[in-house]
Amino acid sequence: MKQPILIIIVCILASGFIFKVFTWPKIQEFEALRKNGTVLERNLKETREHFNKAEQYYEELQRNNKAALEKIDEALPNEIFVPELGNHYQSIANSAGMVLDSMNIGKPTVGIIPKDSVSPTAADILKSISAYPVNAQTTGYYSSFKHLLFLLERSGKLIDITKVSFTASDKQNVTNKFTVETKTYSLK
Amino acid sequence: MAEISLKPSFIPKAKEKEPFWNNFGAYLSIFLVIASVIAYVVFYQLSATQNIKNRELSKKIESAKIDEKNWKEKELIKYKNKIDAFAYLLGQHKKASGIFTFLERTVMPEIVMQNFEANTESNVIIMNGVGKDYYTVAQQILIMKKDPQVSNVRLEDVNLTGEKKVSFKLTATLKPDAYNFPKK
Repeated sequence: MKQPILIIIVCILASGFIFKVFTWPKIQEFEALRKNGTVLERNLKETREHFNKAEQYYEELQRNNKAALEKIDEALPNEIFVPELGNHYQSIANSAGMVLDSMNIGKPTVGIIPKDSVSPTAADILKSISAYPVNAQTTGYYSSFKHLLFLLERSGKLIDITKVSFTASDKQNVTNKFTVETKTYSLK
Repeated sequence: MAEISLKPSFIPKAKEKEPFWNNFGAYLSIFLVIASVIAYVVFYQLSATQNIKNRELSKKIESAKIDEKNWKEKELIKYKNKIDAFAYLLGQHKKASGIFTFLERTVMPEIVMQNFEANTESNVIIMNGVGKDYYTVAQQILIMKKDPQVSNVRLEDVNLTGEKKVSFKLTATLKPDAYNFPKK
């Protein structure tokens, strides 16, 4: 072979150039893609496992806790239908033996500011709660009003009594006027 | 006499052999160039294949996320949020009817209650009443002050009525746990 030294030098330079400029970046690119592929495979596996678990938990929840979920749905509905809410209060007043003279269902306030420290997730959830003020004027006996409060605070709907007031009559065994201010909630 | 030929004669000279390492080095360096090119082509192909595979994996992850059964996960999160909110509200839920037990325990029979107002959020109760004399009103205040559920009692207004009775306005602040449901 003629001038082998020259060939050797040229070839070594050429191979060095090709390796440095083309092959090595491709190797690195492949390595990065391969690593990314491993991460994606793991993600896919985890995603499938996650959704399978979610499906399993959902079915278990539906199977074993349906009654409890229905109670929670009733206590804290997604939406409050005002006439239905009015009817709920009226039927409670009737059950307690009180006459519902007037009732006002106010505009809801959205979001509850927690009194104690709660987690950021819980604080976010509380922001989605709507509180409906419901004020009712009733007439009846003291014992009936006590019963009314008892029924309200144990009602299927979550009702918080915020204010109670009454004006007592001088006479015994007569009906009195009672006012009760409450709040009931929905969660969007 | 024998003739001596003076003609130049061609005597082939043995060709000088190139050292082995010269050719070997040249072939090896050519091989290196070819190997570099082949390696490039191989990794180019591998990268392209891996790229396609990664794209398919990404698509699979996306489709797994919008799979029809995933509404169940959304429902599950909705229920979790609802349970958390419900638990919080239930923790804050007050037994407002307990105020009557308090009144029956602390208001003396000699006191006639005219107006009453209880705020379960501020824990303040305001009471307007009439006692037969100052002594009765003072006793009433003392009874309230001594009650374990009361943190503060303030007598705001005292008047002697035309019927020689004492009317008063009393503001009491109850302790924060006054309306709590009894723990089982």
